[in-house]
Amino acid sequence: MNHSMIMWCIIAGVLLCAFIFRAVGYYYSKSRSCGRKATHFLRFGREADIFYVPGDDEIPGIADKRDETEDC
Amino acid sequence: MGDCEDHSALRKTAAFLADYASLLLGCGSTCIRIEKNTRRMAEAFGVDLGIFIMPDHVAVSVWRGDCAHAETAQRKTVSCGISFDLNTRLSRLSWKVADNGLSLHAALECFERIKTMTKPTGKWEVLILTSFANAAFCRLFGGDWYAMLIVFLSTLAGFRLKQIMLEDGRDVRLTFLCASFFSASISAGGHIFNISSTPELALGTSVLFLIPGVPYINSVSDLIYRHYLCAFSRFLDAAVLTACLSAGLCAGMLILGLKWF
Repeated sequence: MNHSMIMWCIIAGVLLCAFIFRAVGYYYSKSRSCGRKATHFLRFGREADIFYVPGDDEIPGIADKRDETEDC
Repeated sequence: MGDCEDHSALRKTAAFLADYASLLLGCGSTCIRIEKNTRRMAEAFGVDLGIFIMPDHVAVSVWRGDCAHAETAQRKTVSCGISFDLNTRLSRLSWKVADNGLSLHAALECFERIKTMTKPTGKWEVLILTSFANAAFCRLFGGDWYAMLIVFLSTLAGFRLKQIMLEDGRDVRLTFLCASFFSASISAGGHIFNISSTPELALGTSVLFLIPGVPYINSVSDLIYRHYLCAFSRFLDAAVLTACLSAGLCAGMLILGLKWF
């Protein structure tokens, strides 16, 4: 593999990475703007969260905080 | 009609015509088109018109009878990018005012609707069709099928990069430089990997989609109708973009070690 081939692969790789990062960023921001939180397998939650059942109007322990999942 | 009311109506007419002319200039219309359309509407509104078009500003004066009592409105050119659709809609509005006798109020409503209208063509369709068009250019110049495929892919990548950078509000010159660099570099794959029998055509035609054709044509039109300042401005804008395009192409060739001649 000569110098030109290596440079071509680097340039194509940089462009591909830019497109992939852009697409990932776009879908991430889209899911956030939709009000839906990204799915996490593991995360830290508040104590009050365990008393909250999806479908409840208000989230207990947080004033004026409403369930946003239905807004989508 | 009282003097005060007349001046108020004239002021509103001047403001509307100035807004209209600045949007028309921003969407890539020639100076003669702007003059004709605004004059057509001014005649329909029953006022005399004087228009002064500069590359970045438009000033419109309207009066009835005595030009000493003219009302003048000046607007900065709207930077909305070249749009044939917007151009057509605005021209159609001027004909509606002239032929159907649309009032100023109705014309203003129609104008606001046009301004808030979204672009009809999707970016993905434009991306694909531009890539096909550039590949067809390659065929037109004698390129083989592999060269066409290379041009298609390099245009796809370069044009998408251009769309992304313009969406992010990057400088248009930097955008042209980057897009031409990446397009040229990717199309140089034909040379580097010995894929096509006409790799030089693939390289040459891969950046053709970036040629600013509309500003060049408009500058000639303005030159013919003696709008020298606008003609010169448009020509220089296009020349700077062409220089950026060339710099990107040369940088790609230099980095990949391709022979110039």
